[in-house]
Amino acid sequence: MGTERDTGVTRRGFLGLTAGTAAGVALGMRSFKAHAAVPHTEETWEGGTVIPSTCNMCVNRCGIRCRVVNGVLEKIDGDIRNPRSRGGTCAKGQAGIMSVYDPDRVKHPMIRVGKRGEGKWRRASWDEAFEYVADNLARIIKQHGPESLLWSSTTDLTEQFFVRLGIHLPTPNFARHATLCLASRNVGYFATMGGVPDSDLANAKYILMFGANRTESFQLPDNWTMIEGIKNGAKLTVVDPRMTYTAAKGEWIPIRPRTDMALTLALMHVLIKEELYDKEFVATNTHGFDELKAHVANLTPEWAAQETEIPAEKIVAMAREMAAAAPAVVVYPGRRTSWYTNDSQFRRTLPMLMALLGAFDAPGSHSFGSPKARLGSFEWEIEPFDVAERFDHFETRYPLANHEDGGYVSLRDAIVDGTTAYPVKGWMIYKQNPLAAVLDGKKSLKMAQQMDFICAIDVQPSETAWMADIILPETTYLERLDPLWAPSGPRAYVGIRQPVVPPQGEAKPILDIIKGVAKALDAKHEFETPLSQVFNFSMEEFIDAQLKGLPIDRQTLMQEGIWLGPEEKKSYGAYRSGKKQFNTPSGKIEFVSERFRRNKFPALPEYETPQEVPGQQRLVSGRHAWFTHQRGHANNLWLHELYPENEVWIHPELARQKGISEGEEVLVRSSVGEIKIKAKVTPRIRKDTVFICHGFGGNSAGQTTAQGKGGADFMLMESAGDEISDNQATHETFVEVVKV
Amino acid sequence: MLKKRSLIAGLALIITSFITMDIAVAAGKANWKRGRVYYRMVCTVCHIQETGAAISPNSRTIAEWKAYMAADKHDASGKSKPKVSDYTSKAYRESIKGSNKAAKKFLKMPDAALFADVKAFVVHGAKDSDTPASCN
Ligand code: HEC
Repeated sequence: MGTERDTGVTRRGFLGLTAGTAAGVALGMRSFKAHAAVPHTEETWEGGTVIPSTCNMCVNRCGIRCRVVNGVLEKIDGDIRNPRSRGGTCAKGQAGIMSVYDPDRVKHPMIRVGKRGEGKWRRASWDEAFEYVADNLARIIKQHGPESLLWSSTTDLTEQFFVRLGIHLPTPNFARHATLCLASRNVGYFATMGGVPDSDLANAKYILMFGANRTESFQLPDNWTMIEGIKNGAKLTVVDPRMTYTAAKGEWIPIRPRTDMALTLALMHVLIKEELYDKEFVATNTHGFDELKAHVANLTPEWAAQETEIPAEKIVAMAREMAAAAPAVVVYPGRRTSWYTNDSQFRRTLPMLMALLGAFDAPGSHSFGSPKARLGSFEWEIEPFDVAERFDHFETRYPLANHEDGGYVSLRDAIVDGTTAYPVKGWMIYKQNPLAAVLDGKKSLKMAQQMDFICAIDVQPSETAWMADIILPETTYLERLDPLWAPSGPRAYVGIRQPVVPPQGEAKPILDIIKGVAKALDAKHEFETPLSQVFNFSMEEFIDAQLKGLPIDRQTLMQEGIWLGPEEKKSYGAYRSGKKQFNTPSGKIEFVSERFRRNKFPALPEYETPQEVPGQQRLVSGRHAWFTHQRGHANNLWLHELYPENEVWIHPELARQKGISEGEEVLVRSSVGEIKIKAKVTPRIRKDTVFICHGFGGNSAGQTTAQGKGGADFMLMESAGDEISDNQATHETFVEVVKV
Repeated sequence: MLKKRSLIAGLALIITSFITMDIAVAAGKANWKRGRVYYRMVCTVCHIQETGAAISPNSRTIAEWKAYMAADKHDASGKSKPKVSDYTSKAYRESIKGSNKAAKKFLKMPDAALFADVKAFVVHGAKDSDTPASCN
């Protein structure tokens, strides 16, 4: 190891936090050093307590067991009883320790004293902080109405408390995680089959993935079952302009970017023309087959070969292999689908392909209704219904999107371009880092500068928090009690996230922060229901309401960490036989969507040849095994040690043309920004494409580990969104790689 | 469309929303958002209690909901009241107002208006609408 941290050098001090910082480093040091000496298994370890909990380093929320000595967290292991994580923890999960002991962490409320983003802060008490936030919110509400507040947050077990506060102001202007990530997948699958199905990768005989990079991103269960599937003889085909580690586990098809839909349409052409499709399934379970048949009649493999640069024979072979494996085929839905402006329509073609293969409601294919524990619901106060329309005209511009999530690109652009229906003055941000996640970073910065008031609730002084007027420090997931977690999966279970160590500094759990703001706001403004009344409960009471009807109590769950439901054997056939209906207008899988047609979108996905820019490369981005989200990963010392900076991947031929060699720093330039970054010269990427791993190039001076390391993809990406869902389209930018 | 309520304080604010309600009712314009609150807090709560499952607006088509609400027959099983409008009536709201926040909040609304709001919500969230809604 041997980092600067080992030597105890503490140049990293979050201004005004000297005492807290020193303590943090001391604690961090102890645990950091102790780490090497901690025995590998719990069984041979003596000395402390083991507390079961739930990870939060990514969205998979694995079950974890935390070894604690004298109040210091020394080691995190996977919980073998957890059906999703099955005893595994990845590098990120283990490095969760450093999210607690990060010396850069915000440990006290901080109020800005210098100019926005200048990094001058003063420490405030919680009372002062709540007053400060309430003063600003009440002033904006009085002058402009509650709807002039933008309320952004990212999906997590605790997000509902933050959102609830916004609902009761009331503001309609939420900006949630979906349009930074998977909104287009959701819209596409919902329109086609009424929801995103589960994939039985363990029993599939043929797995087709577009871009999805399971082995490097997250979601352990899908990886493990995928590897099981491969062991069981499944063929894995990965279609991606870049050869990821996932692609290395199977066959890599280096497709020309943004032509994926040409491939799926041509595969459907072959299946129909060669009569390889499942006629019975199509007759019973689908809507609009004749129109589809006519639609793809001319979309031959030869045509698709021109578009995709995949040989026509290969496309024919793929279709035949899939048909031979059917119904045990999975065309993987994908997760982060923020690629192109046609993403919802492209995603629609994936379940359409599956429907032709009859790959639904059978082992090794798609299905609905995996086992899931049914949690009781907490009874909230009645919410205001008399709420303004959104400021960004989202409902009318994106009639088929999820209006309660909002769309980041369109709302940011509306604010900066001055086309909002009314002024947007205040911005509350919880657990989100839009200034490092939304494409065209410079434009996002302009949005921030336009606000009268910004409050960030965060663990880290992220790029967004750094631009705020006040930062309210939240506890990490290892220091707080959260609502319960009951995912669908191979087996129903309930997991709990509970405090493993005491909070660092004065950090508070989000529910306490919301209560503090609510109480201070009530004193300054009259709400339909007093906000303190809305949040008049404890986390324990909230959890007890969730546990109603389940055969376990809170204390036992906290001891055990998990409640496992009965083992259920999945039954198949209800949909195939037509007994069960899909949640679509026709009750069937819809090749043709009348809902799309009615809203002036093509009822069947229509392909358009992409426009390219001569002499430039298309920029694509993605994730890394040690680095999924900017939030919490960029500044994590252990993860940083594993992968300190990202590179721009360029093909050897392009490198030769430009005289660029491996490891050399280059300039990457687009119409909206430029970054300096090291080159990785590799044949694992197409010549017309460059790749930059997301999450690097941080520019918050508060994050001393991450700042300035590598290059930020989002600073290069031009403003673009999927036409139907407004999912940000991050692969629509062409860049120039310049030798410096 | 945009309601500027910022200058109206306290009680006045609540009264105003009731006035707005009445205007909307007088103009015959149903409010699906109000209907959503009532449906989720009265109809759904009982469905989950009685049957273990909610009845989502997106489980039926627009035409099916319109026909269901026009017929005003609640459920054939005999386990509950015979008419849907029994559950939007003032008498029903009165009977559960002690334990149900929505019934209490909408106590004074005319029966027909509340019925229209609930109908507007289920139609707005029907499975062939543009905005299919689940129960929660
Ligand atoms: C006091 C309990 C209760 C309330 C309140 C209630 N329902 Fe029901 N509802 C039931 C029961 C019980 C059933 C029958 C379910 C079954 O058949 O198992 C039912 C069934 C239904 C059905 C399905 C009927 C069918 O024939 O398939 C609909 C639709 C429905 N309710 C609508 C409503 C609406 C709208 C409201 C609110 C205005 C409402 N219900 C309020 C108890 C209630």
